[in-house]
Amino acid sequence: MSRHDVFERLRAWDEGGAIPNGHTLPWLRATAADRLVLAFVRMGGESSPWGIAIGRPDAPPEFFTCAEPRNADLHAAFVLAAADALLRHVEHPSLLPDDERLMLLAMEAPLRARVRLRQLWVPGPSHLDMLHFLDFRYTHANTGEPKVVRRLQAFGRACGWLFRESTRPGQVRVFDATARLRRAYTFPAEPARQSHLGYLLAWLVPGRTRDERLADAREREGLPVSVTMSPAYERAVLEPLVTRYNAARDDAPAQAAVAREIHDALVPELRRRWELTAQAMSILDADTRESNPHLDAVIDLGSAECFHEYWKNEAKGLDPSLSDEQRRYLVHDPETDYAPARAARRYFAHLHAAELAAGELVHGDATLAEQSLDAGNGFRGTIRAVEREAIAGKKSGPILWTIECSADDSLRLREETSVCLVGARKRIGRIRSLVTVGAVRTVVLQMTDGLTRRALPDVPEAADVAAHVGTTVTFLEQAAAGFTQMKIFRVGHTDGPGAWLTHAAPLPEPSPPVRIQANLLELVKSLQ
Amino acid sequence: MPQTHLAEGRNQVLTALLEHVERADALLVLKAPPGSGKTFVTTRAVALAMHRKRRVAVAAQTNAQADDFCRRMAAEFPRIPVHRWASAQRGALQLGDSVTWITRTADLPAGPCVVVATSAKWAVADLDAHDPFDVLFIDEAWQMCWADFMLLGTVAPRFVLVGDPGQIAPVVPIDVSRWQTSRRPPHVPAPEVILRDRTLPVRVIELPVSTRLPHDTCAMVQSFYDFAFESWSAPGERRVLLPPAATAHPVDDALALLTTGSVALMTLATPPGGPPMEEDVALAQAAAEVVRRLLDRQARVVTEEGETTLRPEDIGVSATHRVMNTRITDALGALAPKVRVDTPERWQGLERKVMVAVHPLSGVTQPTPFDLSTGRSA
Amino acid sequence: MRRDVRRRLEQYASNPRCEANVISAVHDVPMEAVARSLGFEVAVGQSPFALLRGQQFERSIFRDDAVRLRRALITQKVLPANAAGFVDFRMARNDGPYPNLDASRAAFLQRLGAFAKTVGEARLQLPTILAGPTLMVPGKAILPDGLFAIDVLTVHPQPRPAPIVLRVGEVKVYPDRGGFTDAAELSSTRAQAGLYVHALRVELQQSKLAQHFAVADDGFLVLTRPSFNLPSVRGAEDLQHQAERAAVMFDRVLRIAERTLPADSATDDVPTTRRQAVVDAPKQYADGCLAFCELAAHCQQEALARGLPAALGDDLGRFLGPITLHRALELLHGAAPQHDVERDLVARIS
Repeated sequence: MSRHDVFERLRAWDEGGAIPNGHTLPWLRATAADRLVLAFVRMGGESSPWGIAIGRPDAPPEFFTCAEPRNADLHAAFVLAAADALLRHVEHPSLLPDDERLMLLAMEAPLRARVRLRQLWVPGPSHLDMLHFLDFRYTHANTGEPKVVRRLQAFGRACGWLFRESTRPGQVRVFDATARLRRAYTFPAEPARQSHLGYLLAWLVPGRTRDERLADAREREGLPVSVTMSPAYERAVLEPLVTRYNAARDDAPAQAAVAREIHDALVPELRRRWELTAQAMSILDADTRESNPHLDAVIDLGSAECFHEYWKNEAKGLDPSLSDEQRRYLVHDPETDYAPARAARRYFAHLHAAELAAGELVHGDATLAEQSLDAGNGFRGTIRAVEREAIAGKKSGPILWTIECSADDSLRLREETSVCLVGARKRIGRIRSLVTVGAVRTVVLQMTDGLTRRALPDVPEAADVAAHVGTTVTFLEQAAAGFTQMKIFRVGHTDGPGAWLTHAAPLPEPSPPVRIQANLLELVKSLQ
Repeated sequence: MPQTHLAEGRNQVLTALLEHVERADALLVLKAPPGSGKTFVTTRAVALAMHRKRRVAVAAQTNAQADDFCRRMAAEFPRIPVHRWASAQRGALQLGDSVTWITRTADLPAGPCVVVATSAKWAVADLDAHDPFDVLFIDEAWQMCWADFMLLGTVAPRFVLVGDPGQIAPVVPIDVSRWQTSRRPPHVPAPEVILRDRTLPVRVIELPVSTRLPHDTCAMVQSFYDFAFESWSAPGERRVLLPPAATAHPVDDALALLTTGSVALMTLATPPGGPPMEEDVALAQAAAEVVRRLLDRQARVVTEEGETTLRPEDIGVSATHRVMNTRITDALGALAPKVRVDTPERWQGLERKVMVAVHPLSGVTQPTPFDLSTGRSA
Repeated sequence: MRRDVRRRLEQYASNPRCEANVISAVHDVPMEAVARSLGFEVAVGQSPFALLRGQQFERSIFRDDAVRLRRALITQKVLPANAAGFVDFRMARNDGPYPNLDASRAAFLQRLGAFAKTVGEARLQLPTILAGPTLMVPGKAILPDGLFAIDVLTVHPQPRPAPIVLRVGEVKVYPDRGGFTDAAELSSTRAQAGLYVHALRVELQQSKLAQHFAVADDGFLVLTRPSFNLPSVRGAEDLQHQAERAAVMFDRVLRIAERTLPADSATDDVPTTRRQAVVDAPKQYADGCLAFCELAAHCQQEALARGLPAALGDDLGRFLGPITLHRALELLHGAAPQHDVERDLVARIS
């Protein structure tokens, strides 16, 4: 939590309600057809859902429950019933005709276009965790009818991918409604309280005083929104029902009746969580702020991730000629990336995603630029000189900008760091020197990219004109996203001479035995 | 008197490293505490490898480190040609008569050579058209994560990793929990990943002496290392001499501790409600006051080299937050240009006669999950 | 009186700066009773399903001489492949043989004494898993003499004269999801295990057994495999820092315990005089209170009414320092700062 965030919380308290955070929203609004809202409840102590609410935001949700979630068969049947809606949302290839699937697999772009704006919304982080638990439980399901097992496995993998995707920096596919509200607004409450979706929504109700909102927020806070239900509700309502259900195991009609009662007891809990999520989504949609204008690259990366990290493997896995071993290779382990090369690739992919999101969005939102400056990732100052460095034997040397800033501002950057101009991100310079005298910090930049008007149509002057002198400019660290992206591909190279160590290739032949000279220290001294 | 008998220990380590180079073994990790002569032994091993007609690659973690390594090679082994391979965007530097500045892959030399570049440069280099290198030395290897190390598998079949295991690991700006239980976690320093794998044919050697750290500082930081090392200086050999003060000052009691040892701890009472966020003006002023008082009292520093008057340039200050460092710089006033103030990671590898460190947990009144969550250690 | 003091120590550690919390934890005045006496609604208890699951899980790992747990401990190299033997010190309510904590502790100390005397082959064949051994809180710091049970200990015998190594294990029912395992849960589990490392060392000292045993700095956590009722062991957990922290905590508690309160009653009811001591004590609201204290909502309201900035977060409290919320808003709206602290704040927010 930065100083800026804390100060904004004080302002929100002063305003008596949530206040906008940032000039833009870092995601696009999607149509209802592209969105799915999902909420879970679970039995206390269990790590799989007891009930699922799922549906598009423009229609009532479907509710799926399981009378006794500790019974593996019942649980599988209940999950199977809920699986289709999620698999349809992720365009699971098994739901497509063969020719369409093969076309999408071969062409990539049409599938990426189709899923580009798909969004899954859940109430909060514990619901995301439930996706992970479903991954653990069903990705490696192996008992039952083969067709059923395949569907359960596909559901487990879909949950697993969505969970993993939710952890990728800057992603705009899986939406934790609580986190998104906190990203979009500053709330006048301590951070611990802000993990309750209902509590946050109370602060967003228009036309109320601070005291009214606070009272409402406290009241809503009493109703749980995580996947766990109130122990009191479990004890008073659900435990007796489950006991009756298990006691009626020899009386199918009676058991079915109790199952309906359990369903009816779980539905209000599911409905509340689902509706709060849909409500959060509507509030964010109705916000007057535009989406960040630099989102395209972030969304494109998301659709590429969807294709390469999920859909492609799912489509390939449907090939009946694959062996079990080949099919296993297409499946990710729920716990981690065990294979070192895969772990490194995903690590670089996440780094690249973080750099891309930060590097792009900062140019579309003045607040982000300010926050980045506050964090010492750049500097703002006045251009005092624009000159070409004189280099003997060369007609024209590099362009140097001398910029004076306040020495009071914190600055993390050092010589040789590349920085880009906010508002014209292709104009890039490298810090030649940083000198602080008294209250003034002087930065000398060697301009390296975006030097001409043609290169930068939105900037009226080339980099070497004196007209820049006297203007105020903001430079931020240039994200190295392209460099990291290169690493993603290169780390897959398994054929280098050192691959025995880096990629677990076979050990090299040992070097032939060498007779060690008696006094190597003397030998080395003689080389000096 | 310096503990000169410890020189023998360092020579044994150097000999072991040279023998490793001589035998052309596959993998060695050299653990080196601060100021233990890491560059001293590495330059010698590089020189020996070159003498044996090998193609030697050296990877440093920053351009400044690569440049420094070249300077050391030029100064100590002026007859051994060294190529400094750098980005075309960097202006060429004069690093010594024996150092050639190159920027293009095509300019890489054929045959026996020493080529020094950053790890990032080696990582994306296309070396297919060149003779393979025989050995890759990696300097400051604990600052390199495993994923980045994997990219160096294309450079050479043999590796010598040199670094300080007590250094701060590279800052990773993303959530890495996904890989905490990976077999080879990509975010963990490369030498640690290598040392965890008992199946690898790795030899580990440790430099046993620190010439930088005084005796009691060595004892203090020892718990961060899994091997023992000693200080070159004997107990009490390095200290600060303080002439009698004309007037009393609140920090004098703390400074008095420096007359008999090398570490003085000074605490400020935490204000009610906990310490201020990020920038603690009172703490910044206290740190600046220590610097000012040392200079006002014309402190003299005693080391193995003799006794000298302490100058502002001999003092450094470190705090973890950049904004805090800015406040300390403010508090130093006219002294600011001469007294370097920086974050701990940027101080790594640098030396000052006196360091004032603002402890990162200053004022923490309650442990947080951060304080308690030491992870799996195996 | 709750003699199993584990929860009270956790309560103390959750906010040691709040005097009301400290008195409640150290002198065993349940905050729940205090909250009720003030007329607050108190959400009680754990999920009945979660309780049952916890009990079933613990029973399952200790069933049949802890065969499931032993297998997992061997797989994770906490125990050697040939490890055998199991001694149960649990109480009857948890499927063990002992009627209460005192009996469990006496049996445990007696068994340790016997272990210490073993030699030769017998020593190397000591039982390797001890379930639910009970310890007394060192120095009787938590009033009255508190007892609590460690989940599990492993025994690593070595030939004499080397001490027998004891390793502390903590059992939790939450799932082990690799790197995704809840970090806060892990931290608190490690903190508990560290507490036991310290307490066991002190207990051995007090029982004059310290020369025969060494408590390892590292321990292990027994979690569940997600969606299955099987143990997932995390070995080689470094608990040194947590054990040191526990030692500091005990030292503080000891000093607080010297303060006297009216005596407890023999019944379960908490006497008004004791409750009143908590009600009257100064309270210091902090972010973490919400997670453990029944008075949290009340304290937050009170803090807001008094304009204490920590009511909107610890970090805001640190940002404003001694300046109240009311005054901060005045300064925000242009009021002239009256002294240096206010001038500093105005400089930071302008």
